[in-house]
Amino acid sequence: MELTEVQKDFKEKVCDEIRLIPEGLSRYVVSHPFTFDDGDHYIIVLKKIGENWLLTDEGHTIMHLSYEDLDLKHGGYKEIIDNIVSAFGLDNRQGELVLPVPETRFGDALFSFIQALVKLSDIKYLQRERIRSLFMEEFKGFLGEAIPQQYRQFDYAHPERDPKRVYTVDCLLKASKRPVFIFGIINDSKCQTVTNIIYWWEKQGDHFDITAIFENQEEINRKVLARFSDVCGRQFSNLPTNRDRIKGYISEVLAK
Amino acid sequence: MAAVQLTDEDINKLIQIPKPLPANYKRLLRYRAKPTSEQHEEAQFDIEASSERTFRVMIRKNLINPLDFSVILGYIPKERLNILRLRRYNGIHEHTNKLEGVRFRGFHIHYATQRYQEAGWDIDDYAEPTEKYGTVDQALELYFNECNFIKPEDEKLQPKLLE
Repeated sequence: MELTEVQKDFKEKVCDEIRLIPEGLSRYVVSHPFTFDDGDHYIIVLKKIGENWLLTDEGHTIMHLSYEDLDLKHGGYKEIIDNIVSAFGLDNRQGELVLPVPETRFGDALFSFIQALVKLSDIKYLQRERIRSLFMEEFKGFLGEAIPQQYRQFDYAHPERDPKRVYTVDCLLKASKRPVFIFGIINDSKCQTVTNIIYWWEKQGDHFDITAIFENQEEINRKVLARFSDVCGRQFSNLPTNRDRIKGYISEVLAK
Repeated sequence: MAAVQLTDEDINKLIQIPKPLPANYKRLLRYRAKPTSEQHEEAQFDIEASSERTFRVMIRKNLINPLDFSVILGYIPKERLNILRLRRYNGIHEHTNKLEGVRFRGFHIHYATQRYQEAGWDIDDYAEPTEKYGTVDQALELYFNECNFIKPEDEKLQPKLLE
């Protein structure tokens, strides 16, 4: 296909996707193909106020973010929203995002507006990262209750051979027969890192057992999990449904 | 295939679980604006159903456009820290179902499905257009009926003014 044909195809397809739907006086809903992750399209309305045109989301974007149960006034979200709004030249009018259209440059304004809405809708992923970090807090809290203090040590590193604490163990269970290294696994990256940590410990010649508690073992890549399974002993696929089982296992190990 | 948190069977069972509304549920549904936005109001509360299942009623109402709203049924599993949305009764805007490639504009209802989870999308990304309601209050009534909410006894005894 000639380049000019490709360009023509791009223009026609893109143009076909943008339409104005009149709804009210000097108010047009902009129909476009851009969506939130859930398939709902961004709401973009073109309005004429006096002699000036502007694009507005009529408050929908922040309302949509609230479906994720985000506390937008805390956690740095407000600053992120302010930065994005400012970067794309929008106004945040108490939750309504507005972009005046300069000198009838409707296309430019639309592109800027859409880019801003896309960036704003990505804020919800910050929440998911926060949820992941909460698993390790839950992991430590659970083991802190399940294992008497004299038998456990969090973030254990070899005192002589790892002074920089590169190969740390999430929780050392000081069983008299054989210590157990317990790891909390939240994602592929942690799983791979722990595999490498275990390899290092094996080379030190010490004797130990390995136990892993996953946030959700089903989410781990199969190959990563397969490599990990070669070096790990007991595995628990998640914490919530295995609490009693893990406590039983710990009691068994400490009793030996 | 991505992790599936709820199968279609799980979802249907959760929808069918009776959800008793507290006696003061109308007071709990009084909408309030949030500090982050004065352009929409929110109302939400949790319900403990049988078998220690926790559900969340969430409503959002746009103050600029009254046809832009969302009435949401959330489920909070004991072992997770996030809310899974099982149903979402939305106002008018465009929606595209990514798996089916279908696009439409109007009132629509989002349904939690297994197949969207398997494809790596959020649980409630699938939606269908509806003509069953035209306002947020009508959507709320439909939501109460379809998601098996049980109204307080004294409300059930009141005759309906209009059938």
